[in-house]
Amino acid sequence: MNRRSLFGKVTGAVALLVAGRATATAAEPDVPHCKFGGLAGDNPHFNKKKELLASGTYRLQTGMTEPKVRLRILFAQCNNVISWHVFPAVLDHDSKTWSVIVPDRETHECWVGVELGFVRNGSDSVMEFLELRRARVVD
Amino acid sequence: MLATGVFLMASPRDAAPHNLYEPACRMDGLVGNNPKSVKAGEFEVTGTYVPPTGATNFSVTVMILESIGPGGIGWATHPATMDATKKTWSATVLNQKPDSEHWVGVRCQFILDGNQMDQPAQELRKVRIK
Repeated sequence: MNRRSLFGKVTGAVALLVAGRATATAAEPDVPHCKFGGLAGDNPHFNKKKELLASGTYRLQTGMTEPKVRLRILFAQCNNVISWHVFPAVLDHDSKTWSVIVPDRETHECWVGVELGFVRNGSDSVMEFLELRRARVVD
Repeated sequence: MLATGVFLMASPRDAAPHNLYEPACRMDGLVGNNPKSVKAGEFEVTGTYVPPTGATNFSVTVMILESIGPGGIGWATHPATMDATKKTWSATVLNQKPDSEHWVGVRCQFILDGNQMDQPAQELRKVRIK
């Protein structure tokens, strides 16, 4: 291998590393999130055992600790008040993913949201969730 | 030859009927940015649509969660304006209570093979009215 091609390879590798770092930084701004994976209409869904399955990703902002992800199922009450059934999610801290299996749910129209709880400056806080998805019933 | 066989086996999948669970109309952009309330007492919402192959009379309706009772969920509805060239839709919903919050979704209707199809909203997004 001559000196010129070696220089080209080293330059290329450095450029790739720099680009990789830049991409990683650009892809992950320091903004918290907690959301469903996949498409609405697919996730969450009921399986044939009437279990409600949901999964997604989360991210904490710098300074936030102790993430807690909770599934909130919109519950119809007779007095027209919106209330929620809350189910904690299981977190995978390495992949920053969450998942929930809720057993024995009625498979009628069911709207589901997901919220992120965390600790910041020693206080518990919750990030408001802005999206609800209809749980799909698998035939 | 094997590759050709695999290709031939895979091809019919492309011609499979449109999955009606796959939303044919959806809201644009990010939750928190769309729908958006720019003026007091109203909000705007925009989106795109992809009619299933062969669908006609495609229309989009904005759905606003209004009430929940023993009979199920009550919705207020508002027709969207369609742009058939760009395959986009938009709506401005007026007369909303200032400082109120609403869950907003979108539903599409179309005729396919002579049948009236109704694809309910799959996603609701929260908007705070100015």
